[in-house]
Parts: sequence; C-alpha cells; structure tokens
Amino acid sequence: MVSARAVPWREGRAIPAEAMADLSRRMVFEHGKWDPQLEDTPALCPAPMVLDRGAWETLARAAEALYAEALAAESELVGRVDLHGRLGLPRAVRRALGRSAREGASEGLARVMRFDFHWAREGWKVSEANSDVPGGYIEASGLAALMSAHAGGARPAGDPGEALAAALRRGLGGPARLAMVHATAYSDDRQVMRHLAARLERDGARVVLVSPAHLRWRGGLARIEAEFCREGVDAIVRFFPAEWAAELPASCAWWHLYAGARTPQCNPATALLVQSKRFPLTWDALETPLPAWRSLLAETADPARVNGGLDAGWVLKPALGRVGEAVGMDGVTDPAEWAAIRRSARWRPRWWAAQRRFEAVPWATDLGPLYPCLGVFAVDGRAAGIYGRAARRPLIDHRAMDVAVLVGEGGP
Amino acid sequence: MTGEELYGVWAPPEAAWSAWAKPVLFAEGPTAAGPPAAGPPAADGPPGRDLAPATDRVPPADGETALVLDLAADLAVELGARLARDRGYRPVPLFNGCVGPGQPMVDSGAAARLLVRLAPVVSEANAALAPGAPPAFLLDHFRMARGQQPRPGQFDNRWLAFPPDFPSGPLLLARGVKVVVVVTAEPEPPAEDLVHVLLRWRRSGLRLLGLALSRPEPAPLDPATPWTFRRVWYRALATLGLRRSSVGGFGALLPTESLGGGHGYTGYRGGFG
Repeated sequence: MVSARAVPWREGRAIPAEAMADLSRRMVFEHGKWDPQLEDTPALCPAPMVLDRGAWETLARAAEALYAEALAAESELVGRVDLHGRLGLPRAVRRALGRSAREGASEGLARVMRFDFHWAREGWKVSEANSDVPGGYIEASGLAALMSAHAGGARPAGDPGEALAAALRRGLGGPARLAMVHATAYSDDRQVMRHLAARLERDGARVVLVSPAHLRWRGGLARIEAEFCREGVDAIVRFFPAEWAAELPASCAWWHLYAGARTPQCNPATALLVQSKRFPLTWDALETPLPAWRSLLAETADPARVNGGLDAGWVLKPALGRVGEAVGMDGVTDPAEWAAIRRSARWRPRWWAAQRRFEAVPWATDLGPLYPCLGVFAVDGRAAGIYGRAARRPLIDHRAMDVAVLVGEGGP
Repeated sequence: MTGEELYGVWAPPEAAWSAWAKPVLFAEGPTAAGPPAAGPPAADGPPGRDLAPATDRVPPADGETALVLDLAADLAVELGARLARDRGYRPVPLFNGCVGPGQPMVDSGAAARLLVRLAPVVSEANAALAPGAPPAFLLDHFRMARGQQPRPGQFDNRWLAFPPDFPSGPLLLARGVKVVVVVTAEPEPPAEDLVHVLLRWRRSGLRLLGLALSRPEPAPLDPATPWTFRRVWYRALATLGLRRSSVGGFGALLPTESLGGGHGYTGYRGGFG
C-alpha cells in the first residue's frame, strides 16, 4: 500500500480554457452531459487526474473483491428477513423484501456496482457503495475519453458504459427489447438513460425510455403499457432508486422489482440490501465473510449506539442518502445543517448511519487543493472504470466537480 | 441546423451567461419536436403575437438589471429573442425538461420549435450584443403542469428550477447586476421553486421587482418565505414531491417521516448515487 506521503496521482494541470470549452460542448452533444454548470461552478473539472497504474490495479482488485462479497451478502440477506429491520428501509420496502424471501428474488442481469474510494492518511478508504443505481457513466466514459487527448498518453481506466452494454448483450444473447426505467421528470437521470441507450441501440437493441409506472407484470414478465408504447420487454435497465418504488401505485405491482420477476433487471431491487449505509450493522450476523468490506469501509455504527455521543469524529449519513445529500460533518457542513442532522439522528437513529471520519488527502491542482473521490465501477465482477469527483471541501455532494480519472505509466 | 449549432446560437461561447443555458431541449428537442412551423424567416422579428408593448415595458439593459421571464415557454422564447434584438438582453434558456414521446404533461415542443425558428433573429442580435450583456433567464411557467395529474401511461416531463440552476447572488452583484425583474403574464406570486432562488438573491443584496405583462410598471416583489427555505432537505423534499406526484398521484411538495419541526426526510433523488 502506498503511504500518504507518496500520493497515487499526479498534480492536476488544467487544460487550456479554449480546449476545455470545446470539451464541455462535446460532452453535452456527444455524450449527453446535460448538467454542465452548477450555480457558479462548471460541473467539469478542467484538470484530469492521472493515477499511477499500480494504484489503479489496487483499486480494481479491491472493487472486484467488494463486488463479490456484496453479491454474496445480498443473496444471504434476501433470506434473512430478521436483519431487514436494521437497514433503515421503509416498511413497504421491507414487505417487498419479505416477499423476495418467500417467493424468490427477482432475476438479475449484468450486475453493476460502484465503490467510492478516497485516499486517506491510512491508505485507501471506501466511504460508500452504490449497488442499486450507480451513476457516473457519462463522465467515467465520455469525459475520460475526451480528456485523454490532453493528458500526455494517460488513458481512461475503462469505459463502464460500454462494459455495461456488453454485459447486457452477453446476458441477453443478442439484440433485445429493453425498458430503460427512470424518473422521467428528471433530466439528469434521463441523460444517463440516453447515454446507455445510444450504446445499446448501436448494437441493434430496441430501447424504450419509460417510468416504472409504465410497467405492468403478468406471470413475472414485464410489459410496457404507456400511451406511446405497448409491448413486452426482454430486460429492464433500472435507474430508478429501489426505495422509490414503494411510492408507485399498487396497480404497477412494483414489488416485482424485488420479488418473483422473470424479466431480468439490471440491477434487481434487492441490491438495496447492500446499498443501505446501515449494511455494516448486519455483518456480525451474516455467514458471508466480508474481509474486503471490513478492511476498506470506514467503521460504521448505529447513531444510537455510538459511545461518547455523536462528536466530531463521526460523519452522519442518511441510510438511503444519495449524492452526499444531508450528510453531516462537523466543521464542513453548515453549522445549522449539522445541528439539524445531529438532532434528526438522535431522534430517528434507525434512518441514519454514523461513519467514522477519516482524513482524506487533498489532490494538488491548478485550481487549488481538491478532495477527490474515485468511484470504481465493477460490472459482472470486473472493474470497468472510474467516475471521479472532487470538491473543495472533504465532502462529495452534488456541488462536487466531475473529474476525468486517467491511468498513466510509472509513478506520480 | 443541428442541436449543437442551435445551442451555439442561443448560448454563444463568448457570452458571459451561456454556461447556465440548459442543453436538454437543444440535445433532444429539435428532432424530437419535429420541424419548425412553416412561415417566413423571422429576420424582421419574431412571428406571432405583438410583443412590442411588453418589450417596451421591460427596463433597459443598463447592465444593472437582470430578467427572469417566467412565462409560457413559447412566449418566453419569443420575448427573449425580441429582447435580444431590441433591448440588448442576452436570452438564457433554462428549460430543463425533455420533449418526451406522445402527449407528455408539459408541452415543450412549441418552445423547441421556436428556438429553431427564431435562431436567425438571435444570431443577428448576437453580432450586436456585448459578451457581458445582461441576462434574461427563460423559464417555462407551466414546467410543473400545475393542477394536472398524469394520466395512466402518460409521459411525465415536469421539472423544477433549483438555485444551482442560476448564478448566485454574489456573482450577479460582482458582474454589476443590482436588480432582478421577474416577468410574468399576470400579477401573481412567483412559483415556490423560483422563490427559493429569489430569496437567496435578495439575501445577497439584490433588489427584486415583478413585472406583469398585463400591467404598465414593475412593482416591488416580496415573496413569502417557504418553510423549506434553506433547509438541508429542501431539494430532497422538492424532488420527492415531484416524484410522488409523478408516480403516485400525490400532488406537490409533501412532508414525509416526521422529523424536527414536523417536516421530514426520506432520502435524496437518484441519479449519481
């Protein structure tokens, strides 16, 4: 393992502004990046991160180990209804998961996960796993590819969008009809679906972008019933968070996303079992060994059982939070927000997880020091690329910039 | 004209406010919305209704005034083009919903077609506009299709505007803007999503005015502070409301699990989880 002093990356050198402007437009129109600006900050970091090849290989092996353990744990957890209550899941979701225990979990296809790594004083640490609907394909694939032209021979770590499309093709055995299920009202989710759809259509797949409310089920098989499309599908690519499914009308039989579906999904909603930030609270009760998780994930506790109280040494996260929303960190989060989050975690601890804070090492760039997060994709068990983000504070949320992470030869 | 070329007209790279223009309609719209309506080239001005009186009521582009046109999307596009040509404002399209298939909840097709049709007008105006010309942000007043619930099987393309979709108050001030005028068709309180933006701007020191096209003069704008203002959970709650309404027919913003102050949190939106 590399020491904290020998950082695993090169300094971030910004590419010229004109080249960056051209790259940003290409991201919009060639890769479907529809959210290129966030308040006063461009969403795309003009400096690529060039990672040492050895570091990438370490991350890739770690992500593959985490993937394998997560899949095994998920499989065991499906049948461990007694542990579902520890995960901070809504009641309706727990009922659907109970169904998957009785009737069998819905079929999976082309499983994809993303693990968020940070370089800390003690080495690589994982802050969370995104096993349900990981995002970042546009940036990990498109941004890295475009930025590599400016990075002196460094290459993208992979192309997770292509890896996922290939895994779907393999799993389906050829061109197929796919429902790309997402919250249609959110253009930043739709952009991800369109990015993936373009790759699948290129190979002959028929792809329809729909809401989960457009799905109907018969005998465990899914069918699109929308004003603009009525047909059966061979598979579902879901970018609609599994816990949101519980908001769907009962007529959608949304529980099929969890249980009893024979139309395979990428990913099945049972992925939520390991997506919860409270997943570590089940570890001691599981038979599945989780050595990679235990060594890499920051220590996690129930906020109600933190010895000495929720002091500055802990980060508070909603059990099902996403994109860093409502994550509380003393000295980083706005004081009023931090107080509100702590209060909420005290009153409703089962919706929260406390994670031991680690000291992330900043990345020196032309923009000043940035705190990077390297989201390593694993598709069907193989590491497939990196979604990089970086922020000026040690908290990755929706204000973080997207960073092209490339792999270079030799040391930093 | 490709979507990228069209985007280059409405968001020219040299313009100071182009970074905020939303690309969705340009990336999807021109082809999804079908060809622009037949008619003569719009070289002598936007077609359709007579917007001259409305244009005249808008304060001059003195560099200290920014506009938010919260109008029906096609009207916002038309007025934006006219303000570029006649008054020196830079139109900045902030439409963030897709066109969608079939008959979606929000009709963005007309606006998408007008973006194409009025491109020659804006292109000509660009030649005269300074890169730092003050912005006129274009919104679709019907972005949430207020009062409607989706029909079974209908495509839901509603959207909300969030504070990060706009420049911050300090940046507007740093660039010389002192007043923001919200232009609406009728005198009415701003929509709640826009209120979150306006209140932040006011806190930064910007003056807020409202201009209804049916009234002769702008008037001070004093939006009420919503209970979700500056709450850490606002975005989650707002999108939750949209999501529930989208898939479950609940309607607008809804509190959920009881949390401090009686309001709730169940999680953030999906996407880049």
